[in-house]
Amino acid sequence: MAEDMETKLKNYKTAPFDSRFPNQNQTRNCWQNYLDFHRCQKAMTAKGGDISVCEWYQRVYQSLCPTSWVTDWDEQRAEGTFPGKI
Amino acid sequence: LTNTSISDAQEMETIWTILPAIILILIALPSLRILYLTDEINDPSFTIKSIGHQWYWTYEYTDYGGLIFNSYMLPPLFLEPGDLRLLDVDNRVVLPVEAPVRMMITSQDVLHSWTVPSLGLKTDAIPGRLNQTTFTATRPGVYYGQCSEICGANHSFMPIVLELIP
Repeated sequence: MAEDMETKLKNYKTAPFDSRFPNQNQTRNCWQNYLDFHRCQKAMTAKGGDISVCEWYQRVYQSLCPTSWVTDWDEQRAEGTFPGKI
Repeated sequence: LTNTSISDAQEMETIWTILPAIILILIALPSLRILYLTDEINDPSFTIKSIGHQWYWTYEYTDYGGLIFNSYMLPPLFLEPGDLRLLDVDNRVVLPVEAPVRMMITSQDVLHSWTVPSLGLKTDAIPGRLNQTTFTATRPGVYYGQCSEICGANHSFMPIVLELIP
């Protein structure tokens, strides 16, 4: 599984088609991957695990989300006003 | 000379209201399904984000790092001979041909619309929403478009230029 993840990351071109978000509105796709990365990172850090497994989510949200959105969300997380549950 | 035989036709009026409504629903439901089916699944080679501002576009190529740049219309005083007035920009969106591209379009302020008519593309740029459009260009060249949603004083002066290279 970790090896598959490494291969997947090595062969990463761009965010692949996600059947959970098949239509034109990809807002939720960006949001979900951002949340998933930070949740994964938080969980792995708490367990003392390898956070490199979370890198997939990071690559996907970096591909999809406008950088201004990511910057705003990062600031909100730092201030404690982020609306999502991490 | 009264209209007693033609003034009351409740049953017929009910039938010719309900029946066409049913027919229209029977037409609309498959039509909507087909509309969503035309949004094909494709496997893009890369993703570019296009963010509308008043009155310019920002393009972000972030699959492999962070290339971000603004694209302003060339003012008439800065045009070189051969440049197109109101269409040419300082930084074009450079893309390879024959590669499926996913464009993610949004806006930072008001509504805009990212359009390239010669590629059959028009997608609204809505603040707070990320709209996806995909395309694969087959011919190299320069493709022009203009903002297609009224967005203020310089709505006509924020064009889009794609440069497709082989």
